[in-house]
Amino acid sequence: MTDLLTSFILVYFVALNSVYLLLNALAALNLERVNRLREIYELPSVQTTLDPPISVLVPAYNEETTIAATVRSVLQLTYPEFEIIVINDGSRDGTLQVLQQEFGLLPFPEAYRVQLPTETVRGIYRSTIHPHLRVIDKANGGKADSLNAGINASRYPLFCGVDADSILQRNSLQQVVQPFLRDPRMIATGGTVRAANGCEVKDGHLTHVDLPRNPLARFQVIEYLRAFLFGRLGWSSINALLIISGAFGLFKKAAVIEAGGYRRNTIGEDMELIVRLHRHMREGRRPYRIEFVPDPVCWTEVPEDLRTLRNQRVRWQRGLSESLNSHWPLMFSRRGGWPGWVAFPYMLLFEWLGPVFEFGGYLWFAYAYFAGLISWPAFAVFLFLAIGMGILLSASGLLLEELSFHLYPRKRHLAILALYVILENLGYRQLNAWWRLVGLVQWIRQKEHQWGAMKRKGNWQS
Amino acid sequence: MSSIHSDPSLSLAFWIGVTAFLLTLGIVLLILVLRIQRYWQGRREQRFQQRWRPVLMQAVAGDPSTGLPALARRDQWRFLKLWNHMQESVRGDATQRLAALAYRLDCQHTARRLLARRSLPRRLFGIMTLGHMRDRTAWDLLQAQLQQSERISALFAARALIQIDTQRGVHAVLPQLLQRDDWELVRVATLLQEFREALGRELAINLSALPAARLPRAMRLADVMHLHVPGEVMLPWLHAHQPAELLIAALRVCSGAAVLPAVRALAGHADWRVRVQSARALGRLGEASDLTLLTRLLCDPQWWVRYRAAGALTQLPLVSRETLRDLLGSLQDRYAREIFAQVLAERGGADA
Repeated sequence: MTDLLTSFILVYFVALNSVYLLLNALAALNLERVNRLREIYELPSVQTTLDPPISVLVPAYNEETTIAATVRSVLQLTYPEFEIIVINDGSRDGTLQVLQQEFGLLPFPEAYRVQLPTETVRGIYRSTIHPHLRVIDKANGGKADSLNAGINASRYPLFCGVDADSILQRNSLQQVVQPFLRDPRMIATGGTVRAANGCEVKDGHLTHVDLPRNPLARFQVIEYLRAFLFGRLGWSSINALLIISGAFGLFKKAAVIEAGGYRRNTIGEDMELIVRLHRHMREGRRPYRIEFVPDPVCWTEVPEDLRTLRNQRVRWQRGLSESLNSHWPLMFSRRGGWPGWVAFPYMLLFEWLGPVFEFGGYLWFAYAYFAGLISWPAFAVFLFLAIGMGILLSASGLLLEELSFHLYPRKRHLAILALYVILENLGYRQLNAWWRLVGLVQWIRQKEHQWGAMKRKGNWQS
Repeated sequence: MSSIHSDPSLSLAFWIGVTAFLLTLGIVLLILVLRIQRYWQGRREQRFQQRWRPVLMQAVAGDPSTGLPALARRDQWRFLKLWNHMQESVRGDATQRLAALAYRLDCQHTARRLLARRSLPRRLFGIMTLGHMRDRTAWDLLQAQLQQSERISALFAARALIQIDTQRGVHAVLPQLLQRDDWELVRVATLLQEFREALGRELAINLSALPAARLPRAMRLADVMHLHVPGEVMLPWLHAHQPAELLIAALRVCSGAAVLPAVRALAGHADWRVRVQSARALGRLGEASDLTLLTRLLCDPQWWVRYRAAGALTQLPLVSRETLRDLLGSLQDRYAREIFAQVLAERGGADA
């Protein structure tokens, strides 16, 4: 029994990291294609001003300290035609008052069209300074409900959901709209979200990229490269991307409305929508594409203290659980394709159940060694394998970053990142596995959800 | 150590770990090599820019250099990239002066060599160079590229052909523009923007002979590129019996008083998307007498029809702001009133 369990855990660790490595290899191929075309699409004559108009939706709940800066940052986007809709989701602080003062809001007689049911809309305002800025004031219903209200009020065929604390690149909309121009089957594209900690931000825009000083934030920089960025690019290359970050995603409005909009009463509304879109389109035998844009388009402050980070990871795991649980029929379904036959089972085995096996693996080996069930060499080999493969995976993420965007060009950056590639595997990953396990248990116990409160320092802003 | 090798699964795990360790070392080494390579490439690029940018700027400014520096073979690719960027950024005589400079440096030969390369960016820069140089001897080569399945190189070849000989180029390219659904219309419109007039003329001549399946794309092309197609040419496709997709596309581009009766008739079409476009067209082309028809459309069950009808009402000629305010006050239907109030507020035509 001991041998069987030991072998199973070893195989699991090898399989988990191998799949990630495979995704990174797919991402490398995809990046090669992206890089090849970048120098063409950057030519002045190819830069189109005929991009389709976009509605930018900014849901906000108790964001009085950041909302004005966020809206100003969105106002400065370089895109031919877009509107901004801020949805104040029954904030208890002065979010609405700040917006009213900063942007000269006046009540607007909107013929509000209910395409998706939402909580009561109390009023709609329009800026007297920026006519393409509107604010919806509604009763509290959560982030998904706010996004649905924004969709109802939007005028344009594409909408972009943006977190109220996101910092956007000026050309971010141009970047994420490209797949829509290239392929009429496109229904959603996601942008890359990077850690803003340590960077310089002026007037809502990133002016200088640097590494954070906080060790936890540095771990997350590596983690974003290893798990989120290039992994998603890998899935995207086979049209099996199951998540687009809520911080920045562009959607075809008609497809989202047809699928029922964002699901309320869920934590991971961003992932749930993408899985549902896959399922909806596949069941209807409709051709579609969901793509990931690797260029960094959105920057967000990552948690710098353990408590906030823990809450975030617990929330993510619960969101993942809800999304998978709602769409079991996609898995191994006749029309499931790559999402149903590969991405969903992967998510289930390595992301959903991952913390059980990962944390359980460490626990089991420690117990077995101290109980004398396995020898010291066996215990050492396990640690060597688990940590060694983890370091390899993080290093491969760093290599891809070097090959593609090269955002951290200084020698000091490289030295710090190399150090954290190693350190990340000596405690941070294990801690993450524990938090995800907690999230899984909380989901099983069906605890109530709410807007994810995140403690922000914002000391990189000026 | 001996116990590891006595257990096969443990031994395998050990060697996988060793492999991971060696691969990590390899990655570290590769990153270092990349950094060094990037450093030297940056230095070389800097030297190249220092030497060639002033030469190109002089050519743009019309101050021809008497003696050109020699263009090293290893710098040819860099030069073509910089030269094409300049070509794409300037207008008028400067483009011809840049082309003359390229001829002095024998760039047409380099460009032809690039056409045979596997790398897509290299081929594209080859095509672009020949187009900007207006190299008539490259016509056949470019026409062969136009037929390629690779959409980007074919699209760039289309532009190069039109650059070399506008009339002949438009004639050769238009059938492809209408055939190839993989060519993004937005990209087509951007690349061929400067040849709008010639394309519009060619399209108007060919429109009536096009097969029905190609017509919606032809009209979408006309719409995206703002091509002028005379109203009389559009009339046959503005009848209710035509497919909705075609009607929608036709309504978006039609112009002139000749089409007005047909546009009005389509305001009652069963497909709401057609009614939306009819309302929009009336906003563009309509007369004061269309007030009644558009007011009726304000009560349409579809939000977008009501919205476009309201917008069209504010665009009608000879309809004063007071008339619109009076109309708002007289509307009995709640939805019509709401949408009209919204649009008036959007356009600043009434107190919100």
